[in-house]
Amino acid sequence: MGALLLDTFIDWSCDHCYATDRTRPLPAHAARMHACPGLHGMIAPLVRAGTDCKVTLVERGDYLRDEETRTGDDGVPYMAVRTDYADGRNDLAVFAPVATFGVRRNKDWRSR
Amino acid sequence: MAWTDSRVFTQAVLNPLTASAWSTTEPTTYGANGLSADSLAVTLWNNSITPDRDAAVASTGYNTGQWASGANEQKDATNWPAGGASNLLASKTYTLGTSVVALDAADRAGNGNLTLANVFGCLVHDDTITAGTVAKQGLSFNYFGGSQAVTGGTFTIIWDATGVLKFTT
Repeated sequence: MGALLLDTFIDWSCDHCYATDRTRPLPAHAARMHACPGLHGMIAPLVRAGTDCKVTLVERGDYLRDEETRTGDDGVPYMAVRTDYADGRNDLAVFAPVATFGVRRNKDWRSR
Repeated sequence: MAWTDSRVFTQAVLNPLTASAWSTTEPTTYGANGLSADSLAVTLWNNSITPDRDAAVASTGYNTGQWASGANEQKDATNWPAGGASNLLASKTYTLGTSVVALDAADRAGNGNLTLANVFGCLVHDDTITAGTVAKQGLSFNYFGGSQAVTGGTFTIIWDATGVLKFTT
């Protein structure tokens, strides 16, 4: 008698573009990210198809100064993409700027 | 002052630069093969601290100076534990570009759903360093640009397209 092999999958979709994906079951907290044309090209999560939720970008709350961070195709610096679920939960993915260390020539020193 | 920007600690650069240029006492080592061989951890912090890139080396480590673990570290017992030892940076890479050297890694998600209310930035430290002037020496702090909150969900850090940290000339 042959054994029955069960194979399950998860469908993923995006409310802002036509991106879809189908994967085997992932850990509960795993996310499928994509560069979303509907969210100014920013990296955003796909959500499980049929999930009652809303995905939104969050604009940076502080001055940009000389920070180097991701900006959308609209030129706006975004600090996070937030997924709000109908039951009150939310996921958050933050866009961390790169930490920098600059080595620059010092004009005063050079002119000595 | 609180958070204002994202910087590499000066003391994190002092070692490799001065070790080659002068006989300055090295504040620490980054392991025989540099950062590629060490475990880099990330921890989350609120806005009650003032990160200082020029802090003395003894104050740049995790659980020292501004980075004293306690109420200011934003953590979850299971899914983003204090100290970051279970939140190590994976898939580290090194990039050499025009006038730029960068360290990158895979985006970091927590271990599961959690609730955090007041996250402003993260500390990236070398979790392999356990002795010397300071253990778990800090490499950089990255400012998220405002208050971040998550309720019963996942908290993921998406690093900049150019990396976690970089040196420019």
